[in-house]
Amino acid sequence: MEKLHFNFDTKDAISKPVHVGVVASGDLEVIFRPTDKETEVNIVTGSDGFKEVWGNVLKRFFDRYPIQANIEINDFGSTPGVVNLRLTQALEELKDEK
Amino acid sequence: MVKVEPHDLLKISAINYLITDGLPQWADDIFPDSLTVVVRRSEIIDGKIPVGIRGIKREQRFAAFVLNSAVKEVITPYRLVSEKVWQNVSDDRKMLPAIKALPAVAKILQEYKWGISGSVGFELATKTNSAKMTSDLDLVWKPNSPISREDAKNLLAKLNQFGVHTDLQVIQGNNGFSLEEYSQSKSTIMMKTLSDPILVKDPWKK
Repeated sequence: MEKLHFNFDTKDAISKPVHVGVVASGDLEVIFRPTDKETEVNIVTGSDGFKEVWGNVLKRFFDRYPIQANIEINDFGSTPGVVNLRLTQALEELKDEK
Repeated sequence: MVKVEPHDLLKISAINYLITDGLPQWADDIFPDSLTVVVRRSEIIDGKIPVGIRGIKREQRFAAFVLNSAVKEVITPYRLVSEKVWQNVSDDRKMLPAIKALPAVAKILQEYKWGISGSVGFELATKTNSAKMTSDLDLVWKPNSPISREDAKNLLAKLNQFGVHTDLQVIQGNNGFSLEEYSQSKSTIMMKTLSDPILVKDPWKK
């Protein structure tokens, strides 16, 4: 079990919280919450030793979608492909009910 | 030619039948105990079956391939159920919540085609200790027809009353999705496919 923390300087505020994903092997839960502070990502992962991979996946995501949010991720051994899909899905949920 | 699906367990005769550029130390150490790999959800290319090696820790997973001709035996998650393999487990392993729950879970799912995957399936198939006190019970399920979100919720509530979290994956051909996610979904859910996972609105649509 490892706890990871990242900050990003992004400014597109989100308007509501969203929650996607499930607690299951090879999957993850992603929660976006609105914030007026610095964008913060807190990850709890069952797979140790992947800080650099997480950093890369998140950087690519925020380069494309510079949202300002407090993000909580609970990971259960997902692949970067699944992480990307869950982040994309959370974004779509944000747009959905605007 | 053996026919295999994702989650099937394949027994091979020796570690050198694994097609890989090299194994991590933990895999070298532990793999000879079981000589069993798990079929990954990925394409079979040039007769090479994509497989995974399981270690003890969650991050100990290693991808490799095996040739069809190297497969000595296929143990499907469904066979573990039809043979009620959990009955043969030692008394101390029956104390693990994910194994202890199996007789009751089997009763709930008796009308369905279902199987046991994950660490419990691996343990039952290989007789090596791979489940832990905290392991989920990973199941695969092939329903004959779509079920409603409400029925999915009710089924999961029944399955989850034995002190262990049941993760039930609905299998559709080579694809799979989480019944829990479906039961809670408002818009899209994740469908795992032989290539990248995709988001779908209706997971039952073929």
